[in-house]
Amino acid sequence: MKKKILFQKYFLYFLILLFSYVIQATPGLLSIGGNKPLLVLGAVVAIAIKEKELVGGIYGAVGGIFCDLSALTYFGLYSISFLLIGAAVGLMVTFLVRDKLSNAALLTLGGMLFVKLWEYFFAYGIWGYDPTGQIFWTRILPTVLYSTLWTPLWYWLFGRLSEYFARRLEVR
Amino acid sequence: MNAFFRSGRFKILLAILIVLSAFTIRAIVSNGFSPLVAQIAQVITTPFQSFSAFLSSQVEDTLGVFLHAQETAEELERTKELLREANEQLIDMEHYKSENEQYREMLNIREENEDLTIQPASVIARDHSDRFGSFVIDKGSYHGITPRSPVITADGLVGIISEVGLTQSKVTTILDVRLNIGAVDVRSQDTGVVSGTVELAAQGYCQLSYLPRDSGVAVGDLVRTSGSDSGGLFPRDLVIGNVVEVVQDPSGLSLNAVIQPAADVMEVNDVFVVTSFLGMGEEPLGSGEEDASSSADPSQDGSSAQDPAEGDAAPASSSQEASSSEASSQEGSSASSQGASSQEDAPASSEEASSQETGG
Repeated sequence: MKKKILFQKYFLYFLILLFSYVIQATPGLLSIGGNKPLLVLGAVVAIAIKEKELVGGIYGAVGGIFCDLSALTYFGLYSISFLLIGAAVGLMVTFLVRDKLSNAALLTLGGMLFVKLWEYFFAYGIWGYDPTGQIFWTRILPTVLYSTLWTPLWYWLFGRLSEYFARRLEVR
Repeated sequence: MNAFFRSGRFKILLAILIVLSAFTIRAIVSNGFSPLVAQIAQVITTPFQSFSAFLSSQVEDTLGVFLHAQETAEELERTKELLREANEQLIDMEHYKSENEQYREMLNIREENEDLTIQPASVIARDHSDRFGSFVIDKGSYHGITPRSPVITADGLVGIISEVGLTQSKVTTILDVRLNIGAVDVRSQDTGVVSGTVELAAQGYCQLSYLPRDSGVAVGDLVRTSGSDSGGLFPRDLVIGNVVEVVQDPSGLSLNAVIQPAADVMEVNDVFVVTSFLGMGEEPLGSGEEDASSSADPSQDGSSAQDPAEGDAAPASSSQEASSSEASSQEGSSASSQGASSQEDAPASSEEASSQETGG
């Protein structure tokens, strides 16, 4: 029975990640001024906060694989970075920071900056395209901020789901 | 924290990291084919992405009528004006066409570009971080798609397949800075290289570079693929777009023309993938040397095309231009009926074209 409940929980997390990727990649949806949010990473950070480093790292890899499907980078780069972010967030919540919304927003912001700055550097910065500064201020930074705005939704959703399944595990 | 690094959880995460790193290295050396994990993930996500894209387009189509009424009315007026101009050009093109048919008989030029094989596809996802309009289509290796296949619409060239999975493929558009396409101005016959820039891509434009300083390229000219490149990437005579501005290159040595793509690269929903054409993957005859020469020989454009049979001169004639301009105002897959090839080297000057165009 416990395994069944855990399977339901983790499968539901997987479906939510899949849904967030589909929404994120759908042409024209949630686009503001040409900028779309990186919903998957926000969900990964929320999972890592609630479920800690192992589950956070695994779902980071899964979410990163989804993002690699539509990204014009080599496959594996998003999955590796999301795995590291998920594991790091889980460890920070365990040892350093408290589980609350403000910390979740900061961790999401940090994760977004890490991913987007690395992407900006390798996709534009080192190639000397002109004007890359315009890309940073009009695309990279707005995407980071727009993505971070979704943190309360993910924090609330995965918080409720985590509590729900924890109660079910206790009740049995 | 030290306990974590000695725990089984750390070992599990490390193992996953190593596996992902192996997939990444494999993806880097596999020249465009996605690894197994990505293909499995694509099979799972493709139905959801297709449904989501379908829903999104339906809502956009329904609301777009009301939200974009003013823009639609303005575009209608512009289109009517363009139609009037196109009709006038059509009369001239018919004249060029008949002359070209005579030239063909004289030079024994073989009909080409009836060999295109195309595969229809739909756009199901766009990369949230890409600035050049790249997207994902719902066809992959299972449907016969191969890397570096041209992608077109009824209006013109859109881009090229950059990565292929089992059921999905990624498309790099002509707005991308990394894609260089050999092109030629239909009217002046000046050749150049079409590529994207960061600045122009934000406006939905690309750039025709390496035009000679005395080039006859003018605003409104039609630009098509030239069909001669290293690797036979693009067939000849694929419509790329129209010139909207001609500026001097910052170096002062050449001219650049700003191109408005004929296909709506940023909003396209349905495309065609050219899976095979005559000369695909072949090196052009005399590439680089004949392109750079300024000979007035009208057959030179043809001989630079990728014709496997030696001695056959591919047409670079105005009848193809007429066909291109006709096709651009009609259904487009037939527009790619003329061959085109992409060109990586510096373009030829337009002297041979100008002398012939004056005659034609």
